[in-house]
Amino acid sequence: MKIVQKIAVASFLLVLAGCDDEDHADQLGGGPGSANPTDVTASGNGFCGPQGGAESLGQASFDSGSTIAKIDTDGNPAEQGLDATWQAGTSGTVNGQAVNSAQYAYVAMDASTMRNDGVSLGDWATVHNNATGQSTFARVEDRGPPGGTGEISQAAATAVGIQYLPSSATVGNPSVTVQAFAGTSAIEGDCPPAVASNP
Amino acid sequence: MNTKILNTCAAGALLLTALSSQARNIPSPDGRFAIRAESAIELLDSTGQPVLTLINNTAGDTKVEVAWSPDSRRLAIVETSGRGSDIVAAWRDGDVWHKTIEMDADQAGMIQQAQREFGGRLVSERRTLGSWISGNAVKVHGEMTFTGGRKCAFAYTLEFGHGPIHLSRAGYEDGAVVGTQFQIL
Repeated sequence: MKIVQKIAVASFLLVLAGCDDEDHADQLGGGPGSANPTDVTASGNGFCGPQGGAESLGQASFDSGSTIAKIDTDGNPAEQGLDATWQAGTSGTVNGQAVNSAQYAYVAMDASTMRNDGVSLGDWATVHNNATGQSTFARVEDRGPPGGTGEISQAAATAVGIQYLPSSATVGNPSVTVQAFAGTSAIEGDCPPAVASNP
Repeated sequence: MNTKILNTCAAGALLLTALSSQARNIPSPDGRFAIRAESAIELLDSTGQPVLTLINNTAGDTKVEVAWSPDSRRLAIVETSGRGSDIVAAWRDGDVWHKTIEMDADQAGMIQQAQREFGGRLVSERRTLGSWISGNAVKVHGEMTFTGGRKCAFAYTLEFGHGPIHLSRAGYEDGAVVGTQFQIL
């Protein structure tokens, strides 16, 4: 009986830690079917917008409605020690690295909303400043706690004219609307190719 | 509780690659079904054929925990990723399996209360499954972290058999499980 009870409540944990990038260096590269489907490939300084523009994203599968913006500084090494909740990593990656909040416009979503709406890491999103009308494209690159909708990266905040302190607190209570587009992670950004300059 | 902790790479497609094939499947107590956790989490029948895809993409997950009910008719899965977790559950009605997700709204009251008590905004939370307290209810334990770094533990009961049920875009029957008896510890 004890064995049956033990089996009945058996839990199975996968702790994904200690990943050695060198062992899997040949498996980097994002998009569906790749070794790491959450990894986005990007060139230039940011994600820019989706190739094909907004039309390529179709209808939003998630709409936050008007919500207070919160700044997610994860992935930005400069925030260590400034933001008490800072984390070195983000759920998603870009070019195999954590997504730097200061460089890439990204949004965080809570895990169950993502699951329910079919949104995956790397999918495209938009952030709209409800006060100023400014908008930017972003990607979903971090998962937050319940009610975490409205968390945007420093780059996304800057792009829509939202000011924030080094502690990640916003100036005022800026209102944003975040939309996410399920199944769009494979759409590449339209950043111009990096141009090398000779000394 | 029989718990296994397994180390592997964080890349979703590489989940469990270091594990034996036997370790990848978590059988139901009656042996008729199993959960296979790889780049997706699937419910399998006794022949190993997929019956239902519970989670179609585990990319970004840092931990996945599965608990079968003693009668093998229900199961709960906690996914942890980044600063949040979610609970996917399934139940068998006759020969048909259904899947659902616990809605965030369940925890809203507890979170608001905790934010008032501890000050600051909730910035991360994680949950783990406890024991089944009946055939249709399992205990959930967790921890919340707020701005400023303050933490608090919590617990509640996840119950099956509630409604109304609404089919989500991703095919989950929302409302079939709810959290009850929330406690901030």
